[in-house]
Formats: sequence, C-alpha cells, structure tokens
Amino acid sequence: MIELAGALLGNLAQGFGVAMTPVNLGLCLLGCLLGTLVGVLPGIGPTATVAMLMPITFYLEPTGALIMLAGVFYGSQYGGSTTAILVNLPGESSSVVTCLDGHAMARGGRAGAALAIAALASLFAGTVTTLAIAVGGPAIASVALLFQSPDYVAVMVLGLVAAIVLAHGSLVKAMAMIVLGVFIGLVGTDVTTGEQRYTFGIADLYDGVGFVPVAMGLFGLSEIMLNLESRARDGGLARLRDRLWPSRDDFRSATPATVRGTLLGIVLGILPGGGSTIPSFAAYSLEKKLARDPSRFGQGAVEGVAAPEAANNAGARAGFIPMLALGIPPNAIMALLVGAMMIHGIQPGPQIIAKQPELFWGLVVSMWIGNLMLVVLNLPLIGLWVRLIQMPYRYLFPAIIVFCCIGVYSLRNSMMEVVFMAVAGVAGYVLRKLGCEPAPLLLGLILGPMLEENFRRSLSVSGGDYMIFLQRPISASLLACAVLLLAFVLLPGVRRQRQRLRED
Amino acid sequence: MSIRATRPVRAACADPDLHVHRARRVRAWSCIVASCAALLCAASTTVRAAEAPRTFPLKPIRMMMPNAPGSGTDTLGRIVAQGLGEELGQQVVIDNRPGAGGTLGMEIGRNANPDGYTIIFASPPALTVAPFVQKRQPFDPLEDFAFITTIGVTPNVLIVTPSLGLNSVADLVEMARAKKGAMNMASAGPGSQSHLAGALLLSLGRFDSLHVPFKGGAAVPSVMSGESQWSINPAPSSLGLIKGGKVKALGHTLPGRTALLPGMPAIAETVPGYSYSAWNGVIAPRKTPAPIQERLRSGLVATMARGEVRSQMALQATEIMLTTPAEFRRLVQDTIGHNVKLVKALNLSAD
Repeated sequence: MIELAGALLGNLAQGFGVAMTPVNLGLCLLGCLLGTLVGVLPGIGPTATVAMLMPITFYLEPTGALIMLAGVFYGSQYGGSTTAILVNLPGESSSVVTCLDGHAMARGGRAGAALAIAALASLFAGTVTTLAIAVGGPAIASVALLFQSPDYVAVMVLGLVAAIVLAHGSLVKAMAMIVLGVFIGLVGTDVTTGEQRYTFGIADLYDGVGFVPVAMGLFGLSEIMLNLESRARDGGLARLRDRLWPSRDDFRSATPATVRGTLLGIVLGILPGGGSTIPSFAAYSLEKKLARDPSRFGQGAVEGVAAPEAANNAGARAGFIPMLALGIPPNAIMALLVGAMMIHGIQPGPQIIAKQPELFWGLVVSMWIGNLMLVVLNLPLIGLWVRLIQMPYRYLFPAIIVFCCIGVYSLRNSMMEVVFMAVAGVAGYVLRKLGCEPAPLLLGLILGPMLEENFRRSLSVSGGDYMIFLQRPISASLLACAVLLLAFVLLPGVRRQRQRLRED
Repeated sequence: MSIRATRPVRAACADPDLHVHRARRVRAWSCIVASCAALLCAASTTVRAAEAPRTFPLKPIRMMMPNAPGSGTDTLGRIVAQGLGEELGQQVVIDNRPGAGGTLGMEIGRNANPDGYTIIFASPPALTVAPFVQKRQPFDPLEDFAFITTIGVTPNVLIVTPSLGLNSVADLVEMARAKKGAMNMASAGPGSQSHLAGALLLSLGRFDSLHVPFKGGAAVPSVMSGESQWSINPAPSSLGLIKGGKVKALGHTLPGRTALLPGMPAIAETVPGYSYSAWNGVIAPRKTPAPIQERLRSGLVATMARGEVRSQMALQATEIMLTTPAEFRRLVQDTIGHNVKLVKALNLSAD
C-alpha cells in the first residue's frame, strides 16, 4: 500500500515536472481559454475547435499539443453551462439539463449563485476524476470492457425510466415526449441493415437528426419566442437580487449532490458513447428522486445545477480513461486526440503509460492545473456575465440567434442543420404552449438510437432469445433497478387510485 | 511476434528530438506570418490565378475530407495536408464534411470551383461503395473527378479475442466450421470497409459467421471483450491494442508480406487470392486545369518523399503508393468492380 502510494507520488511528481514548464503551462492556459470561449458560444463545439487547432500542434511537442487540445475539451464543458444558466441556451449538449434549474435560478435573480455553484461543482468533479485517472486508470478502463450489448440495453432502459422523473408536470406528457424523442431518433441509416429510414432522400438526414440543433431550437429559440410574447416592455431577462455569491444554505444542499453527480459521471463517462450528456441527465434524475421536496426542481433548485454540472465534467474527463489506458476513443473528440498522438508518432494503446510516462502523467497533472485555471478564470467573469442578461432584448436576442446559427452551421458545415434548428424552435414553442417539456424529448432522442442498436445487436447475437437480458449479471441487475424505479414512480398513483375506489 | 517486430518503426519516430522541435516552432511562426501575408496577396490577385498556373497556389487550398475528424482517413489526410502545404508554400486546410457515407463531402468537392483551390482526399468507401449503396446517385466516381495521385495503401488487420487461443487464419476457419458459423464477426457497419473485407474472407475462406454491425470504432472493443470473436479493421485502429496484448492479430489484408507489419502473415497465405486494403489519394473537380493538376501532383510526390511524412505513414502501417492519373483511375475502376460485386452479394445495393 505504502509502496503504491510512493509510486503514485513519484509519478505525480514527474507529471508536475512536465506540466509546470512555462511552455506547457502556457499551452494549458491557452487551451482552457479557447475551451471556455467555444463553450460559451452556443453550438460551436469542442470537436470542431480541436480539429481546427490540429495543424498548429504539428509544430509542438506531443505532450504540449495534447495538453492544449485536452484543455479545449474540458474548458468547453465549463463554458457550456454559462449560456444555459443565463439565457436558457445550452452551449454544449451536456448543459441541456443545467438549463432547467440554472435558468430558473437566473430568472429568480440568482444567476451569480448558479454560475458559482456550476463552476465549483465542476472543479470538484474535475479534481476527483483526475485523481481517479491517476490512481486507477487501467483498472477502471477494463470495467468498461465488461459491458456488452445487453448491458447497454439495460443502461438505456434505466435511463429512459429515470427520464420520467425528469418531468415536473404531467407524467403522461413526459412519456409522450420521450416516445416522440425516440421516434425522431429513428430517422437516418439503420445501423443493422444500412437501410434509409424517414430520410425522404435528404442526404443530411442519412446520419440522423443531430442532437445539438434540436436542443438549441427546443430550448434557446423557443425561449426567445416565449419571452417576446410574454413581456411587452424591453427590460432584459432578470433583475439581480441581493447577492452575487451562493449562500451557506446553497453550499449545504449542493455538496452532496456534487459528490453523487461526480461518481455517476465517472461510471457513465467511461462507457463508449457515454460522454458527458447522459451522465448529466442521470445525475439530475437521481437528485430529483432523492430530494425531500421534488417540486422545487425546475423552479431553481441548487442541486439541479450542481449535480448535472459535476456529472458532465466528470463524464467528460472520464472519457480520457479508455483513451489513455487502452487507446480506444469513446467519442469523437477523443478520436481526434488519438489522431493527434499518431501524427506525433505515438501509438495509442495499453502500453502508453509504461512507454510514454511523461506524456501520460504530464497530461493528467495538466488536467488538474487546467481545472484550477478555469475556476480562477471564470469566477471573476461571473459579475460580467450576470450583467449580460440585463441587456435589453433588442440587443440580446438577435445576438443569440446569430451565434446559434453560426454554431449550428459549424457542426457539419451544413445549412440544413440551421434549418433543423429553426424547425425545432417552432416545435419547441408549440410544445411548451401545450405544457410539454423538451428535456425528456431530448433524452429520448439520445437514448433511442443507442437502445435500438444495442437491443437488435443483443437479439441477433443471442439468436432471438430474449433471455440474454436476464442471463448477464450486469444487465439483469440494471433491469431490476429499472423495474424498482418504475414501481417507485407508479406506486403512489396506484395507492391514491385505490383510495379513491374505496371512497366511492 | 508482431510486438517486437514493429518496435523499430515506432522508436524511429517517437523519439522527440529537441532540435527538430525548436526548428519546428520557428517554422510555425514563419508559417503563420507567411499565410497571413499570402491571404492579403491572394485577395487582390485571385482573378489572375486561373490564367497564371505558374504562380499556383496564391492562397490556402481547401482539402475536402468526407470523413469525420479523428477517423483513420482523416489522420492520414492531415499528415498529407501538412506536408503538401509546406511543399507548395501555402496552407492546405482540411474541411471535414462527413455524412451520408462520405457522399456529402464528395459532392461539395465535385461542385467546387475547378481552380485547384479545392481538392478532395478520397478513399474507397466514399468513392466506390457509397454511390452504389444509396438510392440517389450523388456523383459519378469515374467521370466527375480529375485523378491526381494515390498516396498510399493501408492494410486491414484480422483481429481475434486473445482468450480463444487462435494462432492462425487456418485456426479461425477451422473453429468457425466446427461451430457451424456460431461465431460473431464485428464490423463498423453495413457496407463499411470492415464489413466488406470480412464478407470477402467468409466467401473465399468458405466459412460462416454472424455479421454484428457496430457504429464505427466500437467493433474493436467488442472483440476485446469477447462479445465478438473476430473482426477485420484498418491497421492503425488496432496496432496499439495488438502490441498491448488486448487483441490478437492473425493476418493482414495486403496480397503479400509487408515490411510495415513485420512478422504478420498475409491472410492470402492461407486463403489464396484474398486481398482487401484501402488506398487513399487526392482527386480534384473534373475541370481543374491540367497545369494546376500537374503542380498538385508534383507537390504530392515531393510530400510523400519527405522523411517525417514517411515515418508518420509508417506508424499507420501505410505503404506509400504513387500512381499516374491513368493508373489511379484504373485503380478506382477496379475497386468499384470488386466492391459492387460484394455489395450485390450482400444485398446492400439500393436498386
């Protein structure tokens, strides 16, 4: 044990040696700055930014290059929550859930507190996850390999059941939204047969309806429409109330939520396709389920900001675990980092920790330093951001729409994406008028295609035997959890109904 | 055995030479300054550019990449773009337009102004498979483009789950026959290179396996975890895992042995006639002026002779292959022939 700790300290010391050189510190800062910027600008994602920066890294040393590119990635996770909280516009797909309570807090005049909680929860999650990578990277990575198709199905089912909890209004409407999301997820090329479904010959639909344009339309654009409708005078979104910083009570409720969000983020983040979006949804659902008074959620609950922000940062960083420990990129941005390594003559794979210790430990330590930099960068900015939402509509809204269009266009450099966003905006307006919430729809859109793909794969591997879902311990226990959760949600209703029958 | 054998290549290019890096950094600045200056010049002289190919290129060149950033093809393209940019004295900027099996990017490339400032990084899936799988006819792969040169061939590698104890392609065939095809072949999706390469092996090797399609790169982890027993994938995506012992390589898809995968047999040694590897090359819109095509070609030939480009290619197990435009066109024609036959046999074609 002591030996192990000694080795870890030695490794970390080596990492600090690499990460603290002036050049690498500068690159880390540059990456974090750029990341914050692309995170704040809605739609412009870290993947496009890293792709654009790649040519510059040809002239850098591999470690420095990776430190900078990684900084862009986790920096963007930080920045993404800013617009979500201020103007209900998710800067990144992972900040969708942060909109729910974050923006509610801002509307209640507590934008500063929401931003600070988001930043501190991210700091905590980043620190813990970085430590987890340092201590148990390879071991954690091998856990991800235990997951096979049936297990993914069980994770998705659990996620969809949990999504019902997301809703704070009508249960039926929430379920309808999930189903609608799953239906929209059907559009595109069938993974199993290569057949086109509901694409109407539009090539831009072959790869499915993108998540980001739909999220920006449903949340951001429809929000603008509702605002323009409900307020005649042009006075800005919200007034500031009492103080900028969170109160002691805020911290008390945010801390346990942050811890739970972080753990959930690490677990879900290492799974391929997990990324940072699913953990943030899951963490929010968990908090709502655990809360003594779930009705606060959606009205500006501090836990509803802290947990998803912790989870998306933990998830984003946990993605480095399979990438560094195995050379398997769990998402597009990790694939780019793998590409960057190859261009620098480094073969990603399980041997990288032993063969390139300065790279591995340097990167790990830089992630922690970057984390600190981000908080130092972002906390003073809060005052500035908060003033932003007091801007009159006539300046704020056109600016938001322009940035949305640029960002969405840059996703695939395609005009069609902008059209999709506009359609989603109108649909979002109609849905919200009908009292339907967009968040469950988005979760259905993310989970639906993954659920279908894994479900069909499981059955094709098992020869059509449904027992495969119960034979594997992981999937069996996760499905049991889903059933329990469902019972938990439905039972009070059943009880109430029974009571009514007896009274009749 | 492949573990030991590939090490020299790796050592040769992984060694960070300080002097080289310092020189590189200086070059980075001069490159940035130069490209800013060039942009200013280009703005005032674009009109004359088409008439005076001797001064081509006067502004940055856009290289359409019909693949996602971070994909294997994208990585190769970035290496070529970097070298070509230095050869031509103008930056070559990668423009990723993935989607619809690569046909979206190819279409944008085909419709671009044929002035040499838009070129396309082509690979078999987008050029020779997608047009024959999709209902719409996005482009004519042989008639719509000017073929500049191929740059290299990247083999695929047949990997299996290590715990199966298989040591050769013959072992795999034997096991699959004994199990009457109750084995899973993972692929990167229907019609992908990995699917077609696997299907060809099934047909030539006369054995059966269940095709289990994944989305992109997830096929390799599925072989690691044992959910699928085997898969054929582009070499760069699995070399690290082979060295780390996470998957076992049984053979590669080039027709014969290659120095870039020393110690690894060709699948063709066991299954005669088997060959399925991906070439990459640069093409341009059909009407690109001949002198500009020639300038691009000489730039690419010089790029592929650069030491750093060669060692970066070696790490991807990419064999450098230069061809004349006529040879390149014939290669595309042949590849289409092979792939269309496979696509029809697998019932993937859209008709």
